[in-house]
Amino acid sequence: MTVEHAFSESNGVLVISVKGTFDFAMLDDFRAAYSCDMADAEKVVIDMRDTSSINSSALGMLLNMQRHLGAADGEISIVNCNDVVKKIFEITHFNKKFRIE
Amino acid sequence: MVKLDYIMLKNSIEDNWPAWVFTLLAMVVVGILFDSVWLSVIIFSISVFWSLFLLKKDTSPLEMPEEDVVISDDVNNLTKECLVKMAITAEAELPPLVTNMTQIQDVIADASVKLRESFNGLSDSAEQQTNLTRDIINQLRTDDTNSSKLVFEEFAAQTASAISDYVDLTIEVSDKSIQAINKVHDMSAQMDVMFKLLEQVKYLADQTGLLALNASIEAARAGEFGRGFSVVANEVRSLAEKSADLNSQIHANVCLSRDMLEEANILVGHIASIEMDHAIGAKSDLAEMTNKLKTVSHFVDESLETSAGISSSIQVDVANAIMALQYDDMISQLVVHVRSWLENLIDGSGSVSHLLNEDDVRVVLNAIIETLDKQIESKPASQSAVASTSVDHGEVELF
Repeated sequence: MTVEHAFSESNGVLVISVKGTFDFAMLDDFRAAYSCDMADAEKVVIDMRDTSSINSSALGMLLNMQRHLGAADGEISIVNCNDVVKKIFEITHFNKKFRIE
Repeated sequence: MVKLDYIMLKNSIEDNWPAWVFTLLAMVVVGILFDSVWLSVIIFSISVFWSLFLLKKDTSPLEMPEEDVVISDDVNNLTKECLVKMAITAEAELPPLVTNMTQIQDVIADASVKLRESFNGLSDSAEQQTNLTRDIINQLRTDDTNSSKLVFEEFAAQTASAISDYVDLTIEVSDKSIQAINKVHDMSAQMDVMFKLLEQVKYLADQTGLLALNASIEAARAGEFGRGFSVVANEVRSLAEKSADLNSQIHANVCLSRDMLEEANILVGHIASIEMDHAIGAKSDLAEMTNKLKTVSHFVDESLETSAGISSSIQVDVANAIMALQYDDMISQLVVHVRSWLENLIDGSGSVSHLLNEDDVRVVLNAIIETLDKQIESKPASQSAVASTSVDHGEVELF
């Protein structure tokens, strides 16, 4: 149940990984991840490979992140989602705000 | 040549046996007398040929003049008896037949009326049923005549819309909650700053207190000149103490605030964390229901068409049945024909009866022939009356 972030200098991509359940407990760590200096990167990617499930607090966090970074719809990518997470993004129309893969 | 008919010869011998015996005797006597077999054979042959000749003459047909023919009494009486019996039978059997024919006609007419009524009733009921079905379906449809949608489809669409709104609301609540929490965390951070400041203030207050103490000690050493200064120093010390006191209070309050913030943090955390599986479940259930409703709506449309089709084919069948019922008209015609023929028979046999007093049966027979001739002449159409045997080909009037 941790949040990790990694920045690769070569392609200017900031990757934030959420492991376990993406819920309210992750709030502080997640915020720290996207508020750090490296967030001036050209591209931000959220990797959900190890994310087992999400609830609405995760959705709130993602929206706040988008607002904080001043990103337009579709600029931030969310990758490696499992089926349940994908379904949630569908019914909440998050696929319009983020690039879901 | 004369044909020898052996049976006739035999009969002749049986009938004229005396002659033949005499002939044989003569043969024998002549044979003995004249001592010649040949003579007796010649005599025998002559008598055979002579009897054959006579036989032939006997059996040649006689030609009788017409006026002299006399019918034997036997034939006359038998024929008359036969005719009497025929007349009696006719008079006994035929009138009931006429009655039967009439009965047949009546029964069939009655049955046809009932059948006709029944079929019309059937047709009306079928139409009623179709109308009822249509009414039921109209109840289930929306009032909008442009699109044929079931009321349930609209309802499902509205529900789907409501669920969408619910999902949007959930997201907004989460979004704002997280915003609020971020502010709360910021406030927490501010409080850390405040605590640091308060510590510094406490340090100042303590230092001030110490300085004031030192000042008091110096003032005491200065003796009388330091008395005023000592008072001031004491005041400063007391102020420092009050300041420290106040500081503690502020510290306590800030701690309290921080605890409250922590509680708020937890509460808002709960608000922000709404499980999404209810929404997912509801949405997929609704999608399934909507599809099913579309199928049902389709089926309802098709069924209505089929029902209308069935109704018209019932009408057609009923019309055909009613047309087939016109057999009763045909039967009427047939029965009339049969009846009139029977009645003529009855009349004919009646006229025969009163002629049976005649001695000569030939008079009666001639009268019968005359009656029959009249019958044949007067009803030339009897052969072609109601020649049709099926309702399809008969020229029958439609009701």
